[in-house]
Amino acid sequence: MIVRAVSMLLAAAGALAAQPATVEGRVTNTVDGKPVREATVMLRGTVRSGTPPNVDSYVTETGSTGRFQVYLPPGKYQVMPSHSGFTAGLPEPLAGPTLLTLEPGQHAVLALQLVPDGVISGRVVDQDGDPLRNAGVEVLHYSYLYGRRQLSGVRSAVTNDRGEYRAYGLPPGSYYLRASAPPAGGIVMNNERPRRTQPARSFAATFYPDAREAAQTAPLELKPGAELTNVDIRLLREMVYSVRVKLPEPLDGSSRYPNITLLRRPPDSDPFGGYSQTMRNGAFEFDGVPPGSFVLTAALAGAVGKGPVQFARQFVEVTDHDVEVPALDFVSTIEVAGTVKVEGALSSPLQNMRVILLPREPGPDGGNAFVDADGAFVIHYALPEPCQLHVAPVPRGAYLKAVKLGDRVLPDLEVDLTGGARAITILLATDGGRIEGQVRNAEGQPAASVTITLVPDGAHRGRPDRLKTATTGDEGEYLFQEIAPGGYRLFAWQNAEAGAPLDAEFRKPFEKLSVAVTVEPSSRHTVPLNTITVKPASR
Amino acid sequence: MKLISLLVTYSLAAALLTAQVVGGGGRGGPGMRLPGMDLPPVPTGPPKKPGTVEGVVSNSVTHAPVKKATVNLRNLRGQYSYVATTDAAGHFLFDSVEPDAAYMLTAACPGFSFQMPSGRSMFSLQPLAVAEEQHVTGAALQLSPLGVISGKVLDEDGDPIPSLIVRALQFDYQQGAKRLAQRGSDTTDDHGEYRIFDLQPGHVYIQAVARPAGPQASGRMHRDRPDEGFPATFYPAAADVTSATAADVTPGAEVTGIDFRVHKVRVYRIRGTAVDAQTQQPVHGAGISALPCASGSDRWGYQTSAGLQPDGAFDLRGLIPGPYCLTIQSNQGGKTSFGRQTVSVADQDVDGVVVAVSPSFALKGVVAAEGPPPESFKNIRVMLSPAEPYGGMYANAGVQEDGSFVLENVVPQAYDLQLSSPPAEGYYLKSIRLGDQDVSAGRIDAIAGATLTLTLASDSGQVAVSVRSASGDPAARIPVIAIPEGDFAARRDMFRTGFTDPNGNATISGLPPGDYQVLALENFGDMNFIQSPDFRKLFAHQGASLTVHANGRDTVSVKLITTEEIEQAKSKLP
Repeated sequence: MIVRAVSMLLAAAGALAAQPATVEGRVTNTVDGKPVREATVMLRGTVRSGTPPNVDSYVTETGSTGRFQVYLPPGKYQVMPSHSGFTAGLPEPLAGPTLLTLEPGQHAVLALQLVPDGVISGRVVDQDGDPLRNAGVEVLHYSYLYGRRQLSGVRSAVTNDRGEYRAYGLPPGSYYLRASAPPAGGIVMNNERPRRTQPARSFAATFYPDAREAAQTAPLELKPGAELTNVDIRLLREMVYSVRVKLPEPLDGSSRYPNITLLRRPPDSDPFGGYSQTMRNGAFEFDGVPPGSFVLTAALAGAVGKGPVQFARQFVEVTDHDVEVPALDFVSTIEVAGTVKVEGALSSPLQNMRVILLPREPGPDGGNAFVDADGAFVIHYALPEPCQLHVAPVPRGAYLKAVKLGDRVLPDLEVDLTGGARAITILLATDGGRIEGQVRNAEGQPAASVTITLVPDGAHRGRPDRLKTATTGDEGEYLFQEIAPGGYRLFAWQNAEAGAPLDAEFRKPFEKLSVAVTVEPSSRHTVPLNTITVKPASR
Repeated sequence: MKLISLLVTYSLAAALLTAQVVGGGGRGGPGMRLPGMDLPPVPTGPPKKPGTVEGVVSNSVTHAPVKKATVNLRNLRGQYSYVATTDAAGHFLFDSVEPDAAYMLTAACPGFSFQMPSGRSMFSLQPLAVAEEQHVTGAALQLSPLGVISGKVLDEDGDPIPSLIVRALQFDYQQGAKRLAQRGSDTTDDHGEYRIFDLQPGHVYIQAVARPAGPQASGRMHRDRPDEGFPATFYPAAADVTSATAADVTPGAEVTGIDFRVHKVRVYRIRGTAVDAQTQQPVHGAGISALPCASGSDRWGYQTSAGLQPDGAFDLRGLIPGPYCLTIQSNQGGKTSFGRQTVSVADQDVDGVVVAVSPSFALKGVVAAEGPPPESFKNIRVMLSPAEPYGGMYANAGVQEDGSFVLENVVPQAYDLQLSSPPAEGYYLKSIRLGDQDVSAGRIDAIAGATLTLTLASDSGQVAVSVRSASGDPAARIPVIAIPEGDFAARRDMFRTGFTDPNGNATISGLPPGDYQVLALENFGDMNFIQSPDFRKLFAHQGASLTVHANGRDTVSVKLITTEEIEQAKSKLP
C-alpha cells in the first residue's frame, strides 16, 4: 500500500466538539491509474479509548468509481487501504503508515493508491523436459531475519499434473525461485530393503534457471502488476545416499522409539528438511539424502511427558556413499535449580517470569521454568550442553544485571551444563538508566515512525538482551527505560530495511553517525538524534 | 483413493507376512490373524546364481507404454524388494534377482493407479517364481490413468475469487458409515482457476470453501456495511451435496469447464463468556475456536478463532450461517481444561453464549483377568478417543505390571475406549465397567472419581469357515471376517479375520463369545464398506450368522462376495 499524496481541506473552522469528521477519497491503481473498486479502506485509531481500553477502527469499501466516504469521530488515525491482488503492507522505500489527525467537523480528501501484485508462472520439468507434478516452487527474497540477511520465502506454489505453477500475489521486487521435487516423506515400517538396479539419484532443489545456489543466479525483477511467464525450471539431478542409524534398545524397556530427525545444516538450505524414513530390522534409515552436512537428532520423551528426556545429536557428512551412523550417545536431561535475586524494590511480582534455555544446535529446547514468588525456580529437564539463557518477561522496572553459573559470571549468558547441574543465579537490578530524546530528519523536521537501536558497547557488547529497539512517535520522540548501566551507541534509521539494524555487519559503516552514551546507575539522559539515511547501494 | 487403500492393504499384508515368517508380534490391527497364503519353503543350500525379470508397463486405457514408472519386485517373505524404472518403451528389467518362488510385481507412476493383473485381490495372485539363472520375460503390468477436473470460481459480479479451497469429494464408507471423503483439492489462483488431478474414476462432487477473511484488527471495528463472506458451495450452486451435481470422471479423463459462482452472504458473530464449570469464575488466558459442525462431512470448513478477554468474554466474527462447535482448551501450569458447546447461527449475531470449561482429571483404572491371568499386563495401552467429532481430547495410558493404569487429562465428555492391541495372546477385553456401571459396549461418559475396571478373558472361540465361489468352487486366498453384531457392534477390537487356504478353508480364532456375521470378501480393501450395517444387510444371504460360545468350536459355510457385487451394492445405496 502506498499513500502517495494526502491532501486535506479544512471545510469548517471552529466546529463543535461532538461534530464528526468526514474522510472521503478515491483509491487508484498505481500502474494504470484506474479506480480500484471494492477496496477496503480502514482508518485505524491510534488512541486507545473506553473500558477496557480499546482501539476504534472505521472500515468502508470503495464503490465502482473507486470512491469512498466515511464519517468518524475526531482523532488520530492510520489510513490503510487494501484489496486482494494489491500489495498489503508498506513496500520500501516509503516511510511508515500515513497518519491523519482529524479535527471536529473536518473534511479530509485523500488520494490513495494501491500497487498491483505481480505473477510469476512457468513449469517444472525433469532432465528430459517431462513435467513434474507436486513439485514445490518457492518465491524467495533477501530480507533480514534474526539480525542476519538471508533468503526467505514470500510465496510458494505447487505444480499441477502438467508441471505448471503460478505464484501470484507478489509485491514488486527482486526474487529468486527455487523448485524441489515432491518430498518422499513418511515413515515406512517394514523390514524390506530396496535393492536397486541402478544407483539412486534424486532431484536436487534447483534455483531458476539451473543452479544449486542462489548466488549463482541473477534475481528476477518483478515490476508492479507484471506477469513473468515461462519461468521454467529444469531440476538438476544428484546422487543420493542413505543414512542409517541403529536404534538403541528402548531405554526403559517399553516399546517406545525415539523421535529421529535428519536436518541439513544450515537449516535454511533445505526447502523441505525431511527425508523418507524407513524402519528396518531395528535400524532407522533415511533414504534419498544428497551430499552435504547434516545433523541427526534423536529424542525419547519421558513416560507421558514425565521423567527425563533422553537426547542424542550426531553430525553427519554425506559425501559419495551411504553412511552408517555410529551408536548414538544418549544423554539424559538434568534438573537444575536456581534463584532470582533482586537488588532494590520491585513493583510487579516475579511470578510471571520464565527462565528459558535455548541450545545452540538443533534439537529439543534446553528446558525452562517459571519463577516462584520468592525467586526460586527449578528447570526439570535441562539439556546438559551449551545453551543461551533468556529471561522473559523481565519484570517492569528491572533489568537483567548478571547471570552466574555456580560462582562464575556468564558474560554472554551462555549456560553450559555439560559438566553437570550447578545452581543458576539470576541477578535483577532496579537502578537502570533512562534515555529519551527527539529525532530530526535531514530537513530538521521531527521524524515520526523512525526505528531507533540502542546497542551495548564495550564490556557488555556480547549481551544480546541489552540490544533494544524503539520507534519514534508523531513528534519524533523516543524513550528507553530500565537500561543496564554501561556504554551504548544510539542509531536512528530513516529508511533501513526491516530487521537490518539488528545486524552488526549492517550497522558497522554507520557507527560514526551513531551517538555514544554511557549510562550510570539511575542516570537520565536526553539525547537528540539525527536520522541516518541508508543509501540504496548498501541495502 | 484406491491407490492408497491398496497400498495400505498391501503393507498390512506385508506386515502380517513378516509376522508369520519372523514370528514377531504382528503390527496389524486388533484381532488380525495371519493370512493363509501358502508360500513355498524358504530356499536352502548354497547361494544360487541370480535370474532376471523383465516386462512392460502399459496404460490400461490407451495401451500405450508408460515411461518413468517405478516397478517393484517384492519378495513376499518381507525381507527385500527390487526397484526398477521403465524406459520410453515402458520396458523394465531386473537383471540380478535372487532365486525364490515368492515374488510379487507392482508398478506405480504419478497420474496412474496400479491395477492387479486380471484379478482384483492381491490374495488371489500366485507368487511369481524366479529359478536359478531363469529369465522371466513378458511380465505385463497395467496402470490405470487417473482423471482431472478443472474450472474456475467467480463471484456474483463474475470476478474471479482467488485463494478459495476447491475440494473434490466422493462418497465412501469409513468404519461403517457413509460419508463424503476428500479425494483431492486445489487453491484457486488469481484468475479463480483450479485444477484437481489424480482423481479416481467415479462421481466427483466439487465444493469451494473460503478461508475466514476480512480485516481482522484488534479492538472495536465499526463497519458501514454488513460483514460478508463466501459460504461453502457445491458445483453448480448448492449449499449441500444432495442438490449438487457430480462430475463423472472416467479413467484418464480431463473434465474441464466445471465453472461456478459463489455468492457472498451476510456473516455473523458469536459472542459470549467462558466460565469455569465449578466456580463460575471467568476463564481467560486461552483461545476459543469455532468449527462448522454437522452430521456428515459435507459441512467441512475452516476454524475461526478468538482470544478470551480477562473477563472471559469472546467475540467470534465472520461466521457463515450454520451449526458450530465451540471448543476451549487451556493449558495452564501443566493443567488442562476443556469446554465444548454447540451453537447455531441463523440470520443474526448470537450473543450471551456461555461456554463452561471443566478442569481435566486423572481417571484411574485396573485391568484384571477372569480365570488365569496373562503373563504380563505391561504391553497393554488403554486409549480414549472423543466419541463426538469436532474437537475433543484424546487420552491414553500404559498398564503397569499390577494391572493398574492412570489416564491423565481426561475431561467430562463421552469417549470410546479401546485397547491399543490384543491385550495378550489368547485374551480379549470382555467387559468394561466405570464405577458400578457396565459400559462393555465401549462408550464411556468420563466422570471424575470413578474407576475403570477392564476384565480380560481367554475363553474365546473359533470358527472354521469354508468359502465357495458362485460356481461352487473353493475360493482360495480370500480374506474372511467375523463382525460382532448386537451389543458389541461398535467394538472394533472384536473384529477377527482369517484367510482361506488353497482348499477354500479358513480358521478365525480368538473370537470373544457373542453374535457375529461371517463374510468372505474378494478384496480386502472392501473391509471399510462391509463394516456398514446397511451394506452388510445386502450380503446377509452370502454370509453366515453365528453365536460363538465360550471356548466354542463352530463351522460355517459362506459364499464369496466379489468386487463386482460390492461395486453394484455401492450404486444401490443412496
